[in-house]
Amino acid sequence: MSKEKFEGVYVYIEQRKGVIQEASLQLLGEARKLAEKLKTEVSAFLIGYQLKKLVKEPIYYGADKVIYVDNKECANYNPEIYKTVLVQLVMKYKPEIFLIAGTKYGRELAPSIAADLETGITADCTAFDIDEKGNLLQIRPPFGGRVHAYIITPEKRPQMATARPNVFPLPERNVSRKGEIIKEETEVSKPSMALIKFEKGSEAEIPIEKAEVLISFGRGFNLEDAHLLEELCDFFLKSSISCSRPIVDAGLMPRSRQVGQTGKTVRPKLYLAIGISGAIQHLAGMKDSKFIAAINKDPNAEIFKFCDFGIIGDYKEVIPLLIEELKKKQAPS
Amino acid sequence: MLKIIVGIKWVPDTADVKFDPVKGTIIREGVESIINPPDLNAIELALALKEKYGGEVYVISMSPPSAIKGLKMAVAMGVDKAFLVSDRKFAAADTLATSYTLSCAIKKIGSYDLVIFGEETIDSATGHIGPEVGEMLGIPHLSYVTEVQEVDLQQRTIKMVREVEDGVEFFQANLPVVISVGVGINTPRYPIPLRRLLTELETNKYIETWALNDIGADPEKVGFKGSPTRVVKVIAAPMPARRLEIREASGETVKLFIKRLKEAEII
Repeated sequence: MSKEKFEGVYVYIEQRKGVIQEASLQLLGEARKLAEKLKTEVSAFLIGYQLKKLVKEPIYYGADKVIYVDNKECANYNPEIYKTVLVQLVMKYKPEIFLIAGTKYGRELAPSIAADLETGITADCTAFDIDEKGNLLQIRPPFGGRVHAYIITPEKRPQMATARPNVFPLPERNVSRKGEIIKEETEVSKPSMALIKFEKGSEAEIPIEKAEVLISFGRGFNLEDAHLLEELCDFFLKSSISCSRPIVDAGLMPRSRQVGQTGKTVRPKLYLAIGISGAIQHLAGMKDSKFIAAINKDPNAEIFKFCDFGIIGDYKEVIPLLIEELKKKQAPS
Repeated sequence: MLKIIVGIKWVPDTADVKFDPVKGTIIREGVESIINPPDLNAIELALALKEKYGGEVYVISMSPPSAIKGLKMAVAMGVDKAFLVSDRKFAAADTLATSYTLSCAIKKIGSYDLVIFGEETIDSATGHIGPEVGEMLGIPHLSYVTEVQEVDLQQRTIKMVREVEDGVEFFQANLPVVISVGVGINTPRYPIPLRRLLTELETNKYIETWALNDIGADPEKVGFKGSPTRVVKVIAAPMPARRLEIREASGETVKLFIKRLKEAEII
């Protein structure tokens, strides 16, 4: 589609089973900044079923307008249906910028919408800006995050991008904010693909992207010693256990616990890497942690070039020492 | 009989890629190339399905001619035929132009039941190609597939399992579909030495090269010309500076570590 008549910054607000995904609310803050530079409005697209309770939320987080589709066919996410609905909304509202949170659904949905509209799309942006011509600067980290590529979509509209979750801060929720709410009806045809069953993952612990302390392990850690990780974890509030990619590939941990380029981006207060060599793809997922510590037998491990505190040694000796010291701190003196 | 097409990319091994800070470009020379890792899982899934249901597995790759090495490897793994989609006009394509080119090549192959891609490449990591190609072929697409449970050739349906953040989803779709799979869903087989030899001896029998005209693509929609996105610049990513206090393990080291954690207000 050509440039004329495309206006406004739009964000797809993703809800799952009636819960708005934080990653899409994070994008509203970024959308506000872009809209101010362009002197335009921020709008939100919201899709689902029985959305009454949710429709004002995007306004509270910074949207000026919410356009929503409330349809029984949209009760569960189906890539085919959601794509069709969003394409219709884009055709009607003509956003100049359309941002989608890079959740699993978002990373699937965004390129199919872009392909339908024959416009450009950039994946997993970690920063946005507006260039001197008013184009959206889409900044992303390919090659395992070793470089930053600055990308624009000069002619086609909307300018589409997905953004990495947890890179942008969550705007403050302000219930006194006012905005316009528009209900849209769109056509939903019978899909050729259907969700037949959903099994909720059994996640007793807090998700790794929400933890303030992450005890993370890699190939250099033997899972027979898992009790050491759990004991260590218990000393910190809001702590959780994560891992590097080889652990997940070997089927030892679920992918939801993987930190790195093909896993999650985390930024805890403390990231303790145990037996993790520090491949660039791993660093890409945790480089913004406040304090990075590492325990590794190999003095040449890459992780030692990129941590605040590194301990060269066998974790089997170091962790018990650490636990002992932490116990001393805890004991009333 | 299942007809499966697998899309693969011949990529520089990112672990080896260096960055030229002066020119602001990636140094690709001297970097070894490999089949993009999840694409090997895609090939494995296709071959396993062929073994179960019968049929044929084709591999396609939009690449410079050097990718022939990767295609030979795929044939040696057991793939029936490979197509190198290669033309100077395809150069500097973004994901939309790449997907368009691949969808033209898939249409040229003709009938198919299943198209499989690796979820994302290790160099660009966009995850775009599967969804975009599905869209351009006008058939459904599903990412993050971990298992194909069943193909019903009579009803022409497929049952698939995939992992998302909060659980596992089970989908049923009408054939044909496009799916994307990640690393770790299976263990890719090794190339068979005899087949490797055959591929070398009779390369033309197993590998066909198609240019722009062969796949009937619109020259306006391929390569740089057909790419709506433009890379304005590439800069070395700044890594936040770290204190780099590295010590040999000892009781003293652990005490110092605890002290640092206190200073950082973590404990």
